[in-house]
Parts: sequence; structure tokens; C-alpha cells
Amino acid sequence: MDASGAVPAGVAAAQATQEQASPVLVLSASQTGNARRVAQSLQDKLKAAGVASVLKSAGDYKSRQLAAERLVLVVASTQGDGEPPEEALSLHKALFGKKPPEVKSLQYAVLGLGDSSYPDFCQAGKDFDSRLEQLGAQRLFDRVDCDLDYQATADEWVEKTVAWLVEHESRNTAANAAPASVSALVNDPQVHAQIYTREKPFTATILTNQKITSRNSLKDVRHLEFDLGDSGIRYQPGDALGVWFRNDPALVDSILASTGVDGAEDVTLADGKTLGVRYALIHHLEITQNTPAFVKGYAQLTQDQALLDLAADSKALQDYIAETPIDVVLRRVPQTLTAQQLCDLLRPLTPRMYSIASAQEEVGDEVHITVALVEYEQDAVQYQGGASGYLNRRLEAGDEVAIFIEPSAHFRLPQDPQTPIIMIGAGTGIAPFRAFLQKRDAEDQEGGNWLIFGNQSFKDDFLYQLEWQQLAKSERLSHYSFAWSRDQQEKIYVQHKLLQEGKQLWQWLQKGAHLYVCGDASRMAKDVEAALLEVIASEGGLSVDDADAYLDELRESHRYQRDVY
Amino acid sequence: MSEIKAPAGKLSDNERQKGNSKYLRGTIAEDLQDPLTGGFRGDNFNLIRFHGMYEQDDRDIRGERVEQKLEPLKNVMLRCRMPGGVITPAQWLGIEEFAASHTMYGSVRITNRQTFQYHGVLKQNIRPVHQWLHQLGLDSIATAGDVNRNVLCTSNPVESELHVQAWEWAKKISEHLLPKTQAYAEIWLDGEKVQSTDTDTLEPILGKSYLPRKFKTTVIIPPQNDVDLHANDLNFVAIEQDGNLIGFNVLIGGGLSMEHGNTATFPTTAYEFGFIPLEKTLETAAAVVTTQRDLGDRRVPNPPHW
Repeated sequence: MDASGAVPAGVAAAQATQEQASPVLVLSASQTGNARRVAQSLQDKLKAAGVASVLKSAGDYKSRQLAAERLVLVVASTQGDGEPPEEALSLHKALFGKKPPEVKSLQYAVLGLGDSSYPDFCQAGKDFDSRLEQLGAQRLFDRVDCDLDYQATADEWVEKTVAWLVEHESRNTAANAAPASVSALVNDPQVHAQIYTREKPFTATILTNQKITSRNSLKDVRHLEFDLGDSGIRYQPGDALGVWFRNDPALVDSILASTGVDGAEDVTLADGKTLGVRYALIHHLEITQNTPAFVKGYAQLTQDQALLDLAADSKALQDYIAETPIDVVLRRVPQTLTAQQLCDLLRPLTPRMYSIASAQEEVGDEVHITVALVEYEQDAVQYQGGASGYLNRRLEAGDEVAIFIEPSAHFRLPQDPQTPIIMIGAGTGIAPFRAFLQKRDAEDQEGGNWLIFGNQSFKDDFLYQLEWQQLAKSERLSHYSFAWSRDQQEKIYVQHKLLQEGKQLWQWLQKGAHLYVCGDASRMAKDVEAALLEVIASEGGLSVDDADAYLDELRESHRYQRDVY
Repeated sequence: MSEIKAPAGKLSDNERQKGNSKYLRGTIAEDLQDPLTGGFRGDNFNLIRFHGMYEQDDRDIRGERVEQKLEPLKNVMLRCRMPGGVITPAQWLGIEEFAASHTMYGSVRITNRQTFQYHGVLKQNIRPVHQWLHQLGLDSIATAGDVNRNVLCTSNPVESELHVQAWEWAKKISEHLLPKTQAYAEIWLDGEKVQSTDTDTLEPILGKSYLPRKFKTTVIIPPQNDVDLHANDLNFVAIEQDGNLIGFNVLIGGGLSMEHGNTATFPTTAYEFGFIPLEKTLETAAAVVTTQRDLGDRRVPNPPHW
């Protein structure tokens, strides 16, 4: 198709009412909100162009409905090791399952969002794209994959898609059928339109930056409180806080030294801004997360044989970037670069997301987060995570940070205050549960609350211990189980607690409890899910398949929600 | 002569705690299961003393931990029962091993009442420490709280040929005056739960509410007075004939411990009551203890000695 085809102004396809074709479905499968934003902008532009469409988030969409759709536009992000976002797990599973929906008459297109520093770049988008084709659906045009700096590529895809649809759809759809189908998302009272956004963040003052692990803990975990002042920012328990961080000036200077670049030299960034290179490295470029693109680009510039070999072997390259910070690459193979060459190797800085640890019903115009310092040593140099080093080590009360709210579509307390909840979390995964309990306590919600928390040591790593004690004393926290992995010979994790209390867990589920899981995605969430399936099978007397179906049903009815990373 | 009675008046809260403790059980077992805290709640905080432990915390970091939203670093100090302070080399090695591997400070602290203490035992290690001591042939029953504490005996066995005989009596006195409740075995050693045989006669010597205050007993072998026959509640001075122990001169009513600034609790020395033959030893000990039990002042915690 013609990518340059601009949307004809005011193509009000009002003449075409003879056929009541079903509206175009825009399906967003989003983890951090980027895919949702793209889908929303697509929907807005379709609406403006008079193309009837419905925006659904994958979490609100029943996969079997797909059989009844005519045309679907999928915007899908990818998380972790090539997995679909949490809200799209059910849909993904259904498409790849034994009885996939009938989609032979379906037309579709896919936009993938991802991060090229991960091995399975845009895998979820690729999965949806290839599977729909396999099942007989008709691809309208080739999938487009976007990297972290997705905006320009995504915008282009949206324009292209809208243009194509205007050309092909406007004659046979009811233009103003839209109102009835305006997405649940737009009207969702729990997702507030944000005044301050990723692009226009709010500058908040830090009220508290308090370490909440003991002096003997192996982890530096901080409780941070930000003053929202009179910004009018609203958020819900389950939302995330986006933090625009600044890189460590010491790390920047090390990189400048390795490359022989004068920090005062000007560079032009991808968005056209011209800045001093040192300033750009601190404020605008990603220097704490290595990427294949960086190593490949640097290999070309240096013509270093070891780097060239790595660049040619994608598996080895993945392992290498996982354990070799950019600074170490430069230290090991120093090479004089121009300031512009250096910056062109680097990606734009992206904000980091933290699950919010407070509820406004309790804290008013504040927002709290729980941050674990990422720290490791390489080549005898101590490195810290970009945002966690910034927050935990370089800022103190009174300092200012650029933040914004990233609403969550699917990590939400039950609507019914009587509904019991089971909260399973490890490490900083406890954060949203503090928010949940603050809200339930402030509103005197009567549903039972069961916390299952795991960390290394009872005496050193019991995050928010005094608060949980208070909540237990007032019986707001009605049941609790803790797994301390290092307090005994054998490792005990949250999944062991689930198995140990399987009977109780099953009883709570029978009472309609919602299950929430927050924390590490790669191990904890998987082990917890396996334990849940085991409990459901053994306590419910179900076969493995039926237990699986039971958990799917919980997921689809939003009774099993995860915030894992 | 008018009948002597215990001072009348409102009993101290300690008395309620002891009386309601179900023979020193309280709800200690439930607190052991409570995963939210490293400490003991309510009455149990005091009741564990009868099992030889004091709840403590690291005061130097108390403020810091509150800031960290962590409770104080709670732990217990445990005092062993060791009549006469005698242990075997194997016991010593065992005692040391536990200290090194399972206490916060890795140390064994020797007391001036012929025993040792572990400091910094975390809650998860409390049952293990009792079980460890048990397999070494030791325990910590009644080394704290309102009971007869560790019984002292002149310490140097080389100094006197009477030592073995006198030390045997120190052990017998200690055993005789121990609480009879099975609470210790039940809570700490997986002992069988004894079916409610608890009656008012379960503790014939100590009674349902135990003693009004702590009680200290010694056995002295002249010419040494290392354990101080005037400074304890009940003191047995060994009397020999032809190299054999035949009985004791008994001194009663001494005590050094005092509450700062409270003149009623100032130290007092023991009075000599006279000679008793060996076979009257346990009876005498029980008679003195029950006198303290029945006539002691229970209106304040830690009342004057007599």
C-alpha cells in the first residue's frame, strides 16, 4: 500500500449505511501502557476519519469473540523473554491452544512493540501475526516492529493503517456507529486521563528516601515518598509510577574518558535537539543497559575482531550484553570517537516504571514507591542500575524528580469491597499490596486480606514489617504467610507457602477470592503459577487440564491478576 | 501470738499473669507460630522467664530499625540451669558449638551465679536451643522468674573432699524445688501434652501462682564462702564428721538484689537458724520456700526479700 497516503480531511463516510458491517476492532495488548497509547491514537484517528471502530484491551476481550470479527488491528508489546503482556496471556493461549477460534474470514494487521536488547524482540507481535495467518486469517499488510523509541515508527504505521482503512472501509461501514462501541478503556472510571504524562512529566519533590532493609541486609531497598503538591495527579492502587532518571555523572565521565570525547562538545540527538554531549549522556541517552545495536555499532567503529565475532553470533551477543555494561565494553576496547559517533551508538533514555506502594485514600497528595538497588561488579568496578542508583544513592529528601502515572488496566482491587483477596509477592513485589491495604483500610472495606510475602531474611528484609503488624492487629490483614529464603538450610519461597496452605487457599478461592501476584516474572511468577495449579488440582480434585482451565477461567474473569517484571 | 498473714491488698499484675498462666504455658506456643514478630506478646513476655529466657532487643539499632519500618531486633537471652556450675567437657563443646552457629553474637557468657547465658537467640532458634541443651543433659527451667533459681555450690572440687557429696545435694535441692508443670517439655521439647491433670495440687511447693519474687539457694563448704552464705535467700553450710557430710547449718533471708532507689528492697543478710541432719534437707528447703510463697508480699512485683 501507499504509505504516503494522508488521511483525506473530513472523509465522513456517511453515504455508506446500506451495509451494517461490524466495526473494526483495535486490540491493544499492553504491559507498560505504550501499546495502549498507540492503540488509542489509532482509534482516535479512525474515528476522526469516520471509520467505525472499537478499541478493546486484550484483557477485556474474550478470545472466542474473534470468530465474529471482520477486521482486527493488533497492537502488541512483548515482555521478558518474548512473552505476551499479562493482559494478553489468555488470548495468546487460546490462539495457540487445541481449539483456537475460527478466523478464516478475518482480516488483520499487527504492530509489534519491543526492546531489541532482548533476544526475542517483538515476539508477541510475531506470534499473533504468524498464528493468525496459520489459522487462515488474511493479513492486510506486513507486520511492523518497533523498538524502545517506538513513537515515529508507530505513528507511521497508524497513518498508513488509517489511510488504508479510509480507502477500503468508509463505503461500507456506518460512520457514526462509534459511540456505542467506544472502548471500555476510555470510559473506565479507574483510568484517569492524566494531566502529566510520559512526554510531559511532573516535577515532584522527594519527601522521604528511607532505606527499609536492615543494616545487615544484602539488599538496599528504599521507600520513597514524592510530593504531588497541587498537581491534581490522581492514581489508583495497581498503577505504576514512571520515573525519568538521570545517569550517574561519574559513569558518564568514565565513558567520555574511554572514548576521548570532550564533554563540552555539541551533539545532535535523534529528535533534532543539539546539546552538550555530557549533558546529553546524563539526561537523554541510555548508558546503563547494553544493546546488540551498541555492540554491533562499536564493533564496526573499532574493527575489534572479538567484538566483530560477537556481533555475528546473536546467541553469544545476547549473553555478552547481559553481563557486560556499556562502560566495560568501552574500557576493554578503548577507541577515540567523535561525540556524535558516541551518541549515535546509544538509545534514547526511557523512564523506569515502579508499582505504586500507596493509595491516595490514605496518603492524599503523595505517591510512594519501593525501589531495590540494582548493583553488580564487573572488571573490578561497581555498577548500579540507572534508575535505582539515581533514586537510592544519588537523591535525598528535597530533591526533584520528573515523574508521571502509568495507569494499569488490569491490576485492580475487586469492585466489591466484600471480595476477599490473596496477595502473593516477593521482594519489592510487596509494593502494590501496601497500596491495596491502604485503600481497603481507609475505606473500611470488609473483604478478607491474605498476604503471602517472601524475601531473604525475617530480621533484615521484612519490608514494611511495622505496618503489617498494625494491619494484623486491627484485623484488616486477616491472614498472612511469610517465606524467608535464607533463614534456614533449605530455601523456602512463596510457592512453598502456597502448597503448605493449599487447603486454605482453595477455600478462599471457593469464597470468590481474587489472586494477585507481583514481583519477578522469570522465576517467582512461574513457580507460583505451578504451585497454584498443583493446589487447584489436588484440593479441587481436578485433572491437570481441568486445573489449567480453572486458572484460565480465573484469569479471564480478572480474578487472577499479575504485575510481574 | 497472732497468726502471721501475707500482707493484704491488691495483687500486682505479675500475680494475675502467673495465676492465669495455665501453669506457665500462657500462649507461648502460639507466639512461636506467629510469623509477624520476633518477640512475645502480652503475658508471654514475662512467662518465658520461668523457662529461663528474657526477651531483649539490640538497643543500639532500635531507633534505626523503627525508621526502616522494622520492629526492634528482638531476641532472647537464655540462662542455663547448672547446679553448682559443673559441666562435662562434652557439654562445654556442645554449648560452645550452638553459640557459634546459632546466636547473634557467637558467644557464651559466664555468669556470677555459676552458669552461662546465650545472648541473641532469635525466635526461630529458641526451640532448637532447648532441644540442643536437652540432648546435652541440660535445661533452662526456672533460671529466671519467681521461682528458686540455679542452686550454687562452693565451686572448687579439689579444695574439699566433701565437694561431691555437697554438690549432689545442690542438684537434689534444685530438682526438688523445680516447677512440676510439664509446660517446659511440652512447649520446647515436643513433650506429650499431659491430659488436664492440672489441679491445685500440681505445684505442691511453688503453688499455682509460684513465688512472690525470685528465690536464691546456695550450698557452702567451709572454709570457703565463695558463694556467700549471707547474700542468698536460703543457704546450706556443709557439716562433716569423719570426712562425711552429715547435715547443714541453715541460714535464711539474705539477698543482694535491689531496685534502684527503693529502700524497701535494699540488701539484707541471712540469719542463722541452726543445724539440720541430711535427711531433713529437702523438707527444710520446701518449708522455707512455702513460707516465702504464703507470706511474701504479692502486692508489688519484685517485693522486698522477706
